Amino acid sequence: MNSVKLKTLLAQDISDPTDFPKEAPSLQTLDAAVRCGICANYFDGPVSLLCGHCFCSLCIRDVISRQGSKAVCPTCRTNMNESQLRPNPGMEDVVTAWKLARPCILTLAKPKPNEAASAPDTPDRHLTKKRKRSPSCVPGPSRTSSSDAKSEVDVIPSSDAPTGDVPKPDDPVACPLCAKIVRYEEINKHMDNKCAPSPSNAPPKSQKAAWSSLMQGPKSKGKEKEKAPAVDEYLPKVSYDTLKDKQLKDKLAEQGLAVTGDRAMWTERLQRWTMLWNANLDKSAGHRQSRGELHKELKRWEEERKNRKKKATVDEDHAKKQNEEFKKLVAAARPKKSKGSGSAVAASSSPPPPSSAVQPSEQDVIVIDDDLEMQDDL
Amino acid sequence: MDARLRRVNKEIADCKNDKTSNIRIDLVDSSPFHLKGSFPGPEDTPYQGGLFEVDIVIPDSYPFQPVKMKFITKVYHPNVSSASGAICLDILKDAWSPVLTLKSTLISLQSLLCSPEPNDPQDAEVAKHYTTSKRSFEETAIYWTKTYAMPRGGAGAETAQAAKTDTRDEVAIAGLEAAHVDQFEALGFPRGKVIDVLRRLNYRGANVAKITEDRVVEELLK
Repeated sequence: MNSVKLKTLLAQDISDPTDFPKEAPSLQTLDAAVRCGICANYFDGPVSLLCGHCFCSLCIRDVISRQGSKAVCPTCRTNMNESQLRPNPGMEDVVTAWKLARPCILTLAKPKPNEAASAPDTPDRHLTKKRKRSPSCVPGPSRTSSSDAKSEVDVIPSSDAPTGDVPKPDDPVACPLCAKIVRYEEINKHMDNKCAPSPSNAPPKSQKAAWSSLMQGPKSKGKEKEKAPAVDEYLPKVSYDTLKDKQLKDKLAEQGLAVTGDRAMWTERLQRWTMLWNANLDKSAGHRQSRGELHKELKRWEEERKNRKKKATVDEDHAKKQNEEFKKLVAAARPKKSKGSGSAVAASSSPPPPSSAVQPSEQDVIVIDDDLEMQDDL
Repeated sequence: MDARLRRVNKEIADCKNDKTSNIRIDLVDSSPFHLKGSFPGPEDTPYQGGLFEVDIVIPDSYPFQPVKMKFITKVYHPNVSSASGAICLDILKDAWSPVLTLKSTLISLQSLLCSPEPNDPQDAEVAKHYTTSKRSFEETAIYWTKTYAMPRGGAGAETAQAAKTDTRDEVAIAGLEAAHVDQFEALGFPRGKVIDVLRRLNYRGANVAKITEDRVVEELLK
């Protein structure tokens, strides 16, 4: 029965490196390589640490806020701190490109597993990507070159340089998201409106260059400004304990946050907001969320926490109710323990399976204060 | 969907699709945050041939806090409590890193079985047994593996036999020698108590010569 539940759980639509067939382990590796090790999703606002390891900005900020001054890189355990975080736009572009290419490659890899299996190295994979794109995804003249992920990273810095490859406004272009044919001058709007969860699609280099040159136009620039938060400055670290209630409230109001709940809640809210805000700034302009979206995100986070706390209090009630019973059991076990054991070590360490009538009750106690027992032995 | 659920979901899928590592993860009830992992005992160790089950509880702040794991299957190992199954392993405590996964943690447990660390024990008695006489320790660990960790079908005959000879079972599980237990039982002490005391005194290997009979009797009389 459990396996049935597991199946329904797994049936939920969550993309995973194992979506690719086993015959194409290189594709699984590639898919895993553009995912954050902490949240297992595609990098969202990737940042690099001094050691070079890369994580989602929000994920690593969460780690730092929990570990404080003792924070270490989750992968290699070298010391790190918040000031070392550097946005990694190259990786961000790779992720965007891979998200776009993924469905194409998936359909290619699935029905013809033999073909996919014969593509263990990069050149072949590059080939399959290209083959699919040229007929259906990109009839437009813009995508003259498609590049694999590696060369794309190399290309980013120079991508602002204009290329002569820009299509005319009237040229028909396939939407890279839904494959619908749209006029080139309208594709921006088309994707902004419906089929674009992320406004930027930064696939191959020439395309990207075309887009960035387009972005410089007055119309799209205005749009960008509208989207971007009013101030794009990182919020500073604050030592909340030294602030007075009033100052804390002012800070909340400054950010447009609610002042409900107690002081602890204000601090947490402000902390989370700072994290969300700064992580958002680590994304490149096209990927950033608006202030309103961040507020929604904060709300979702608070809701989640509330639900969890509710659960926790239920457990506490249970503990209170059973407290008498626990005390009785502990009292029943204590004298036997001290009487029956020769040394303190033997009393705290756990005996092998029950062989006499005395031990079952002793075992009960061990289960209850499991943590205590562990500490003893440490 | 909340990030924790997403990640756990992926980790379960990852284990399901990976047939080479031999690591399984199943749900215990309807919650995806209470799981049961299992892995085969590593080859060329006393745990070879056994299947070890681990209780997994995923905390609220996972993956920023370590998963809670303890053995369901009884294991005779210096870093595993022989009664509660609690595990002493750094990555389950302060050395946890959010990039570790359920699979990698279970693999770590598997390799913990390969390389016991008696200097940082969870079960002091077992650790003493290990340092006193490794061979005797291994015999006991093999016996525990046969008794507790063998899949029901395969070792059915053996466990049935073990159940029949109940008394020998107890001595072997405690990692003692029958001759020693018989010796003190002959003095008129109950067998259960003799086993208990001898185990606690670590009456094994070279220690037998060091511990006088008087000392044993003294303990038995307490």
